[in-house]
Amino acid sequence: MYEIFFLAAVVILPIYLTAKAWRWSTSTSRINGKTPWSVRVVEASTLAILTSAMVIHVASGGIGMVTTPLHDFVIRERVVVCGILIALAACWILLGLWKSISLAAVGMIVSLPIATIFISSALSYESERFKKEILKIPVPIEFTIREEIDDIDVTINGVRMGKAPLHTTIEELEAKAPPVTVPKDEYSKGWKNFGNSTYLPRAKTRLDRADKVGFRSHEEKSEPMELYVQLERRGQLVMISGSMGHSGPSRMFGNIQPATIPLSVITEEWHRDTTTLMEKARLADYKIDADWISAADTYFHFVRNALIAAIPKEPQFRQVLIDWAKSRYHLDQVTDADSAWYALEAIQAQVDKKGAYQTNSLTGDAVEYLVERLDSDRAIAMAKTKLKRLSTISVAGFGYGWGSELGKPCFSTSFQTPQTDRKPSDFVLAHVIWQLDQKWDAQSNDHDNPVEREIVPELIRLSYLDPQATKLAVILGGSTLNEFNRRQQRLVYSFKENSDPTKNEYLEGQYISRDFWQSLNAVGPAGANFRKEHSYQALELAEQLLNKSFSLTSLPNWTEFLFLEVEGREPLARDFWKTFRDKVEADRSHSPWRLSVLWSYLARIRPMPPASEFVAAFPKKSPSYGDFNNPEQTISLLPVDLRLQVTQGCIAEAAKGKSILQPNSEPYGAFNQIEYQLIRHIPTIPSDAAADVAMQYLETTNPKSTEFSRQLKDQGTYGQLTSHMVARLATTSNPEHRSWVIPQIRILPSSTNRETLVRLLKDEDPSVRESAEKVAAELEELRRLPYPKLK
Amino acid sequence: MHIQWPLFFWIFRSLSLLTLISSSLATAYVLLHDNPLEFFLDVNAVVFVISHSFLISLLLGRVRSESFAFLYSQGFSRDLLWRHVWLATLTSVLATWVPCAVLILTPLRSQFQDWMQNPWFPLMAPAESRFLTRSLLFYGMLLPIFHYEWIRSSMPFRGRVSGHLLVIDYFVCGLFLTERLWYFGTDLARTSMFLGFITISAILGLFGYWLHKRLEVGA
Repeated sequence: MYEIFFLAAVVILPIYLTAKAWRWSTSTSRINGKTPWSVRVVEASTLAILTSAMVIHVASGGIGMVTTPLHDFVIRERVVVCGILIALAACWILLGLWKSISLAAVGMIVSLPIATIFISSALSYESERFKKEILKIPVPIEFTIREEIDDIDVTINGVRMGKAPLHTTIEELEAKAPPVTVPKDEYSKGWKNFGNSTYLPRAKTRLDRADKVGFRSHEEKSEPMELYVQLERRGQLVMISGSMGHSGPSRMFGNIQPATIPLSVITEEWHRDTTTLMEKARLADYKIDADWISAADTYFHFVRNALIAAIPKEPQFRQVLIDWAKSRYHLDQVTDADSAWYALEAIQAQVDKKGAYQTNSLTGDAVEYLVERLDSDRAIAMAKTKLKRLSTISVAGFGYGWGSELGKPCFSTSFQTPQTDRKPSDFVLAHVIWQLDQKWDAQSNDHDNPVEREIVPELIRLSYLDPQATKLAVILGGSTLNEFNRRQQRLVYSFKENSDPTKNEYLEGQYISRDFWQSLNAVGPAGANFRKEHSYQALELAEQLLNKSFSLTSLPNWTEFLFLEVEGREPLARDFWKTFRDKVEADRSHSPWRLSVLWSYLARIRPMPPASEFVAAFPKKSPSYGDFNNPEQTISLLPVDLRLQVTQGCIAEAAKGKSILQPNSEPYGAFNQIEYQLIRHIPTIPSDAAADVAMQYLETTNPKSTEFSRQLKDQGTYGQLTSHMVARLATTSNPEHRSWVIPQIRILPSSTNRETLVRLLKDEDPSVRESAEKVAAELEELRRLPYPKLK
Repeated sequence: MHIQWPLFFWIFRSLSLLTLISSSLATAYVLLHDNPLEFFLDVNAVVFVISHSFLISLLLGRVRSESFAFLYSQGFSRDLLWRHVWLATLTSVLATWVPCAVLILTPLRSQFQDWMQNPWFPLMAPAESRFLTRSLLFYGMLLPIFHYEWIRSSMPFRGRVSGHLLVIDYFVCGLFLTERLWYFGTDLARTSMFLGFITISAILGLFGYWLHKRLEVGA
């Protein structure tokens, strides 16, 4: 609307007036000392048009905002303001026509500041009115189900509001479902863990209302609104993910953004069915059929998330994911590069239709499968063409997000409202490019691959106007990026804040030079050289950042550069280790995370430090019970081949610590607890040596071994024993120990475990045989059980 | 169009020093400037084009000078004079622009910067052709306005401020809107604004031509 108005003002009006003026000039102009009519008209109209264009620009709040869907009220007000100002400009035209063009020109220029003052006053008045008006607009709120499961009833604050996805307004909610008082933590009673997430029968969210009118803080203070949400499906209570995120709402500038509350849901039945599908896949030796796929499809991401969580211990599930993705996107029909391209285009079309894409999804798995079969030249050419059309990455479309799955970065779009200026299918292409680079890098990293030759230069070009593009280029790497970094680093001297605020990076509450930061984090030989040349400054910066780090519950992201390669010497992390350790140990408030932070740091250093260094980080004095709150998680930070050595070293340290303490003292108790936690963790280490050590503990006769036996039995009951431990226990002479592996076989009926079960079916001990027969019967029943489907 | 070379050289004579200086300055700038050339983000380039255009019109429009009176009293038609004024203008602009274009397109500038270890080169070389088209477009928008200004100021009905205020107004509005639109505008808004300014330039160029015919020259 405004653009048409503006176009009319600056293009059509001058042409019209010129034509008029030309006609007048032929009839009435006289060159006798008086300005001809034609000249007066042209000049006056030119001035008027210029002034009007500027007035319209200011009155509309900047032409950049003309696409903002302004509220009717604002449009009405601004049309009035524009009308008045254009009338003023018309007066100058008339003055120029009838009296003096010079006077009109002066008037035009003088009217600019007057108009600006007038507009400012009008806008100020408008913002006051707007503040009142905007509160009358209902703000939409949407409750959506991430799993796209239908027939879910939404109850808010005890009032049934309708089916999900529920579209309502905050005002309607306030009227229909007034706030209720629920005692603190009452709402979370009955929580359960499914997989890695906690689910609640009733979830709480607080809705902040942002009623900003403009950049200046005309904020309407309003109390956050508390909502208690319950979900039911066909009369059955559905559990909601404990982490219930939401966005908005916002009424800034009259641009009404709905509050979106995406809910992640599950029921015990769905969780059980997911487990059944996993067990049936194991029974079939990870070879899934069409029936399994059609059943898994009904459970959306429940099954996929369970598969992803199982992959570290059972890598065979990766193939299950690939087979599932192939079936979902009909990738079996892909026979050559053309059909692969056709399949990719079909995926892109679906992604655009859905409005979102994530690499860590079944669609992402399908794309990764296709990468092997695609015509790589064609993909690179398409990506290059797209990049060439862009001036910035973030504005137009070859975008990326950041997340992680199994330790790798991923490109992703948001599951929330898709942005109109960013096509989700471009993310698919970005994913393909990234995967091609990964594939070629894995084959050989000696020479630049086509992605590094063709795409990285385009990204560097874009990075001149959009520093975001550099981050993408860094993921891909290559000699072009290395050379760019090397040259840029010649101009970088200090990490001190740059006088140009656009060239700074904000880290831990302080600004530092972005060029220095990028050079410090650059990969490849150029980065290694920079870190060598600027090691003193890098360590100084690291110390500053560490001192300003608010929380040390995990390894801060900024420490990345410390672990990168340094030319001709060890990484900077080696030099910084003592400073880092002293700081972490001094910070008592984070003691439960102390050891995991220190070990995370050491485990990142290459070459890998010896086990003795990990043991040296173990607290020798005044340990905290929390130091081994979750031993499996803490020790899993270490590489597998060091785990047993480190665990044994720490057990020895704990014993040594105990030996000089009074048995009733608190540190003695802590050491004792830690020692026990470490010993019971040994059977979970996936190695033959760890299994042998565990068996030695098991065969020792003392009170602790009784505890250890009970622990080991529990691990079998919950399916947590390693395959090495299963092999040892199944062949031990003690029938009780042999029986512990039977529940594990029921939970994880892989082919190896089934072979063990066959042996145990012929066990000499009747109780073992009986247990084995029971599990064999259960597995047979499981085999016959139809695939569960969500109806 | 028939070119009368003696007439052209006579008119261009007043621009020769300016052209030499501007060409040298522009060539050196294009060769040595270490950031990638982006016309509307480069204040130096914008000021250079404005200054060059203004000086061309100032030197060609010295209507009170003896040489101007001599030229306009030699019996040349106003149309012929007008065409040759524009030819001299174009020559001065192209003598400045063409060496820059050669440096950018060959790509000597890129190779030189590469040799100087500039990190942005040769990667940014293909993107710099925009600089040439935009600078030429900017010359095209400014020159009709400046030529109109001196003609308008020489008319018998000139006022105290005559065409000067018009030019000032054009710049105040133009630069204000350009700056805002470059950073915050939509593509359509940007296109609309450029179309608007080009339209105004074209209209004033035509009126300049029309008024030039009525120019009264006195020594």
